[in-house]
Amino acid sequence: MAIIELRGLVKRYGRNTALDNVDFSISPGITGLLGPNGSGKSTLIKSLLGLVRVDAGSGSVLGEPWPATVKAIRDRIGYLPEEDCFVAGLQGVESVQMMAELSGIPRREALRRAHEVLDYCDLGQERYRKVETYSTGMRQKLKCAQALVHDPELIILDEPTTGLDPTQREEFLQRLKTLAVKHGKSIMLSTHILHDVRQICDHVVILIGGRLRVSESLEKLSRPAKPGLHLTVVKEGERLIEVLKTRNFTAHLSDDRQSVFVEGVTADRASELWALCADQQIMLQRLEPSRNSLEQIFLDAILEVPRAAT
Amino acid sequence: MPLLDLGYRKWEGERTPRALRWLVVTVTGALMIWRGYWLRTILALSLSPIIFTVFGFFFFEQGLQDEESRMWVSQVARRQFGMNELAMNLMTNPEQARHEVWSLFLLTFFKQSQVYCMVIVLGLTAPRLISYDLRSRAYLLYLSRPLSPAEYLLGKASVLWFLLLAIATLPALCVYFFGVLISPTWKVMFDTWDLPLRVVAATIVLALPTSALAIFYSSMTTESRFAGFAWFATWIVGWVTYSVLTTASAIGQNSGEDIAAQFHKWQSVSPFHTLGQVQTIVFGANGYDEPYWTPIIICSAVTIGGFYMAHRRIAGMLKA
Repeated sequence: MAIIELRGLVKRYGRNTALDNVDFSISPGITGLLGPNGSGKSTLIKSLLGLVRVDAGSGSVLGEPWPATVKAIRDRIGYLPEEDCFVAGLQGVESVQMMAELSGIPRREALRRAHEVLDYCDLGQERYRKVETYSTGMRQKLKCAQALVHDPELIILDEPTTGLDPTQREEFLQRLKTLAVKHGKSIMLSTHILHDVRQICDHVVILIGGRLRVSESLEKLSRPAKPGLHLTVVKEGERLIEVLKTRNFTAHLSDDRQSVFVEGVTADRASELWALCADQQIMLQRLEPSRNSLEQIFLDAILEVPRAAT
Repeated sequence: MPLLDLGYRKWEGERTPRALRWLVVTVTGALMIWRGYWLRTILALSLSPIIFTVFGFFFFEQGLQDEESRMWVSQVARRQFGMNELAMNLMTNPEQARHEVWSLFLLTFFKQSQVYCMVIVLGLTAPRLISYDLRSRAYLLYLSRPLSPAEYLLGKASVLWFLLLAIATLPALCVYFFGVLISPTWKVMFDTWDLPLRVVAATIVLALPTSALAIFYSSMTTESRFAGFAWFATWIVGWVTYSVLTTASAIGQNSGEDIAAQFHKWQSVSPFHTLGQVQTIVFGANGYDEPYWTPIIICSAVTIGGFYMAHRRIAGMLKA
């Protein structure tokens, strides 16, 4: 069953169309929402939450009719906004407690739950400091705790790893993975960082110019049209190509000229190629099946944009 | 590093009704305001006029006890305040006079002391209420929960209503009940039973337009000092304009009634006097024949306009 299913979503700001007849559906798991700046990602998220009124469109979110029951839907969604937002004057823990209360958790229980989630999000004693004194990384952790405190079924994260150092970013992504795999949460991750998407997402949605360009599982997108193997060797690429040609393989240097691409060969013939390199005394550094890179998928999606689109 | 890390756990409990979630905004706002030492001091000081009003009740009730004292009170009313009708009632119908005098005391308590406290306390607290949220984009946090912009504003306005309750309603009700307690007879309760209701009505009249104005100013800027400046300027400029216009108009008028008419003619330029006039109507002390709809219309327009503009602003911020 789809977690989000939207049909004919249109949102205009004056003459500018931010979302143009978007139909999309996402399944449980982690979905990466990609798109260049101004592609309508934030508008899509705000529309889902009912923060902006759409001009057209209907559907369901978590089984509830959308946008008719948007308040009930918000109770079941955790939202981490891209913007740096905080309630000035509150301590971190009070801030999370308030968000829990706004989602209907009784006051005392909200405080207990706030501490529990802050522990989970790795915000230590800083929770007793006023939020305006927090660093960017601390604020991201705080926003994460605020998004999780009411135990939502769907978590929408808008650029969540901004401001985190590499270790924190890695931990954060692992936390998301755990939430999805172990606790059955559905996650929608809007980001510019393709590495994050590749690392944890099951499904990718690409918006370009307010239109849905791609909505597919990452596994399916990564599968190339033609199978092949990439062989990375030390300096002897040209000789390897010659050797492969003598054995009736079709091989050529890959586009980045870092490896030799052997066309039409699947991974089950890897041992054959390995043995061939050993025979010819060619030092093989790396052998991997060909996959479409997310960068390429993203660029392809952008290049398909008609010139007139903004 | 926590001593015991439970990890992530599901939460399954009964949630509070969605229709009451705006109260969280109010409670959080009120608790934050309550942390301010100066504000607590001002709130405590704003209770001091209670003593004077209670003494007023005490002396008046003592004055009604015998003929000689009543005569003295009647003379004070006639000579010092020019209230001939009240002076006559004091001698002929003391029950009616009691109601009039108690109303006047409570009206004076509202108009002459608590309104000033209200201007100061709201001027110190209200500008931050929404402008801080706009600056730190906290409205996104509130509105991503099951709150509409209208409920958010209701929650914020309720913080101000809570303060007004503490400054005006509770002290006025205390004044009334102290007045009853120190009166020589319980009979006063039967003569003045409607006054607590009038106190509540006067608070509503005070709270709605002032909170709408304060919320409006606060929502129009991300700099709370500008909102604070606009708030105080509204009251001070209104007062000064009213004083100048009435003084200029009163020069050359012959009778006291003509002068009074000039004073009422210009009250619409001053929020203080407009509010005072509506409260006078609420306490039934409206002694002039001037049209009393004007101040009511002004207060209603400020209330509706203020909240409408603030709502528009908050809803508009989400589109950015």
